[in-house]
Amino acid sequence: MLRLVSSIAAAALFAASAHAQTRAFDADIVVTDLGSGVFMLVGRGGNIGLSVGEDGAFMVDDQFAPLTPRIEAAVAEVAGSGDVRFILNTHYHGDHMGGNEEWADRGATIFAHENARQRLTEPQVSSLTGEEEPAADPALWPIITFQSGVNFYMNGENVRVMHVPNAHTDGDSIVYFEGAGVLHMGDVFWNGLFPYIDVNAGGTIDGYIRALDYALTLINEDARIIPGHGPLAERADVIAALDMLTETRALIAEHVRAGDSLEDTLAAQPLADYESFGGGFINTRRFIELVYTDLAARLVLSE
Amino acid sequence: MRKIIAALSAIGASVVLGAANETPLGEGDPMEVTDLGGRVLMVEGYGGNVAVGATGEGLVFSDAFLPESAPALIETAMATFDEAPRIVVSTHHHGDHTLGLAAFHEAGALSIGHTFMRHRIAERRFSDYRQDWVEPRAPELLPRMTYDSAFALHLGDQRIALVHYERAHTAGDTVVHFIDADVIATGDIFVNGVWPIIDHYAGGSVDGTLAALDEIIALAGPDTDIVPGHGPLASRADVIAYRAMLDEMRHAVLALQADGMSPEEIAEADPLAALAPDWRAWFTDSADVAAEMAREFARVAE
Repeated sequence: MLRLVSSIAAAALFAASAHAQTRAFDADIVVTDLGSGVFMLVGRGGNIGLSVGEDGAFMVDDQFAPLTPRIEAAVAEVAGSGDVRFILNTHYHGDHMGGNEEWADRGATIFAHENARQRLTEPQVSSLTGEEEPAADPALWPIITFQSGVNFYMNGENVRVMHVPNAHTDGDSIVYFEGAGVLHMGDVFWNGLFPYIDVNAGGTIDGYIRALDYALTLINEDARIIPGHGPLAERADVIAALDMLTETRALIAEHVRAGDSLEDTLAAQPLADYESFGGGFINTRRFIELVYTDLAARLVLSE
Repeated sequence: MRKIIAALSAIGASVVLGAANETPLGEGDPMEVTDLGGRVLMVEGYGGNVAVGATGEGLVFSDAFLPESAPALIETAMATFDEAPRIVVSTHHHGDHTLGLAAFHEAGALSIGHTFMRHRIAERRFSDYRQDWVEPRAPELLPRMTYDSAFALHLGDQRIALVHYERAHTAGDTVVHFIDADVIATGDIFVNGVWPIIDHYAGGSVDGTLAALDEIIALAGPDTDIVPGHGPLASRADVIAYRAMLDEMRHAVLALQADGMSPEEIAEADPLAALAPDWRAWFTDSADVAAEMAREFARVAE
């Protein structure tokens, strides 16, 4: 998740009793059947993708550690067993890989892009608060890493895991269940919401735009898209996000090129047409700040 | 330290001391096991050589051998380290390295190969070598997972890198580097003491092999154990010598080609035999290697 939310959550976690922790992370797991043995699980944190079948369960992201028993029960509900053989972390944020230790203890093999693992092994500086956060516990680190991509051939599915460079972070993967026509995009796609661009972790708005462009080449009109956050989506929702990001990039770049300060840019309310995207974790102000920071650093270098 | 493990007779694998066999091990031959230190073994058996590493979180195998020899390979490693198979790599698609995969799947291992390696055996295709259609292999003989560029395992305290080099022995080669144990399993990019097979029909090339050997040499230090696809355990110096020899052979073939000789005439002239009189003819011999090299160079020149 968002580093901010994860750090707040982590602070709450360490401060609170085990009982309170569990309560804070208590959430019902809502399961949606997407056909061909593929499911979407919504609890608290990043949305989960799941493929089940004779070769075992393959899960995309695992939310927070205290939710593990509930997720396990949900997997058992659809698969007959709560065992998960493989887990892919779409990136390094705590709301997508917080359950890694619990699942590894249960026998899962956990994968991620090599930059996602690398970031877990070192302190990170939050792109929202500027505060340094310590390296993650080694028990949370994915044990298998890749550079460009991996494919899994299981449960009659071709599961394509593809790295998309410098979008939400520098270690993002998207996962396409070809047979089911389901694309899990991690936090490279927030449905109907401004996305969090983790600029301190290599995230860029240009990478977001490229990643969504690429996603559209994979999917057809019938595809279902699991966003990192927000409700299950279809192709038109990805196009809406791509349009919003492309327009945002142009609008903020104009201010950066004109030499406007961040305050002046915010005062100009450049994203007034996109207020509806500001209802999530990243409100309009935060989004402008992130895009401005990103573009100010890169446009100055490239122009 | 190269101590031969003595406990294997208990499970039917006898142990041969000293240098590796003069001829490749056959179906009924006992495996030879060498402890390379760092909880990594080299196992020589029917199918060639496999490096096996224990990680504390399961065994990692660099290849799978053949159906006849895979079960004993698995048993040997499990008996030595008291760990279950976790990962089995396929350094390339050839049967002597991969037809034992079913036994590994049954043992619960995850099989991994390069994308092209799997593609080569998962799709019906026309073989220029056999001049016939080749059917896909059975699902239990296909890797469950493929990667494209590079891949790393961080299992227990053992870091293991899987590295792909383009168009070397085949187009789908993987080198398995046990970083902490300082062991490199090269697959058939490097074979020790036998005439090389560069599978041009599957995208292999002399130039790619030379480039891959350069990379392997760069990964290795003076104490690194190099497990060749076939032949005895080697060192970095052996790979350097092999690379130099391959390059010399390349020049020898190119020289005859410049004189206008056809691949068949070059095979007849057999210019390579004198360069490496000690190399064993196995799947192929000096004349075959010269002819295949000449055909590759002719294609490139076209």
